[in-house]
Amino acid sequence: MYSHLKCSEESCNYFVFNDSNKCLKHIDNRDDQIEKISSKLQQEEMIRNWNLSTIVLNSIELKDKMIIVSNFSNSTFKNIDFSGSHILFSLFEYSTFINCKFNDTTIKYTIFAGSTFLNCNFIDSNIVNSNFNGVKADDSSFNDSDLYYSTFISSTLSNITFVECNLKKTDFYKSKRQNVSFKYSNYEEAFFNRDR
Amino acid sequence: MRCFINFSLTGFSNCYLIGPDDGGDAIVIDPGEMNIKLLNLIEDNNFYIKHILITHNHKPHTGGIRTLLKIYDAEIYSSSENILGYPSNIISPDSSLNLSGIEVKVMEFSGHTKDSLVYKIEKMLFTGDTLGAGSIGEEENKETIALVSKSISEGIKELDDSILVFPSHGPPSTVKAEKDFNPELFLQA
Repeated sequence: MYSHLKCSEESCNYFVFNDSNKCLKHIDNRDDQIEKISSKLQQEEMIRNWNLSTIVLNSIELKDKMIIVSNFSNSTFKNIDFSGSHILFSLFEYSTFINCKFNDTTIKYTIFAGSTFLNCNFIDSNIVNSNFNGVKADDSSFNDSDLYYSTFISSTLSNITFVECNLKKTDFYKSKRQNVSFKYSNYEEAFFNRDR
Repeated sequence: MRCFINFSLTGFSNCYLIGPDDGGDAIVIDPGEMNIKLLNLIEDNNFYIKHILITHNHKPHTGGIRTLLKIYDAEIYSSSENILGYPSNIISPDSSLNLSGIEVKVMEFSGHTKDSLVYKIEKMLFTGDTLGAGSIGEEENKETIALVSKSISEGIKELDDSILVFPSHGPPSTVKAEKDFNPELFLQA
């Protein structure tokens, strides 16, 4: 499990960066550190127990990685390609994703709650038991994906396609949806209301 | 400490396995079934199941106990006297357990069933059916929902936002995400 220690900077509530005592916002030589980490992320196949909360990553390929029990909360990802990766039991909450690809990925037990997705694709992926509650997503696609038991509760979805998806037990309760397509998907097996 | 999730097809529930980094006595929470995947997780990590924690006495949370007890000499902990006919150590809310060096805080957010307990281990909260990602356990009517919502809302209000929430059904969450996005919390009774 990644460290749950908080940054030693006064009133900072972010997690420490890997083994240091400060978060990536307050660490010395921040830009150098991010550059090092960015290149290490590209080299390593297995990313396990890493704590990279608040990282800003731009235009790198993170294809075919195993990302396990790692913390990327409150981070920013621009033009990142996660295609072919396995993302398990990891934390991406309150992050921003712009022009990112998650095609042909396996995502299980992962938390994206409170994140923003702009022009992102999760095509042909297994996204099971994952938490998208409160996300704001625009111009993005989940086509041909299995979303079994994943949740989009209280989310705001605009211009999103869920074409030919498995939506069994996928939960859209209290979501705001504008121009969302569920074409060829089993949306009748998804939850949109609470029947009590 | 390591924590693993095992999905059980019995009741579509999550079972959690917690043990030391280098192996040893471990805890299973809500074993809905004992399947080969769970057995491999236990053995591959050199764990020995010494403790079984039950959030509440429903089959999707207890179905694997019989097989587990055939393999491991484990003690059961719950708010009931027995589970599936096996004796259980009765534990009460607001108590603490030391299970082979792992500190478990026992909490109760009234809801789902009268015997429901919630367990906090380090920065992890195992909520059973009481609290899920964006939901609360099934209740009979609006009045009960409001009361349960109030109890859970008060229970998590004081908890650190970064605590991970591990429910018995569906994805994990964090306390902050539940405070921000769970439409069934902070309802008015």
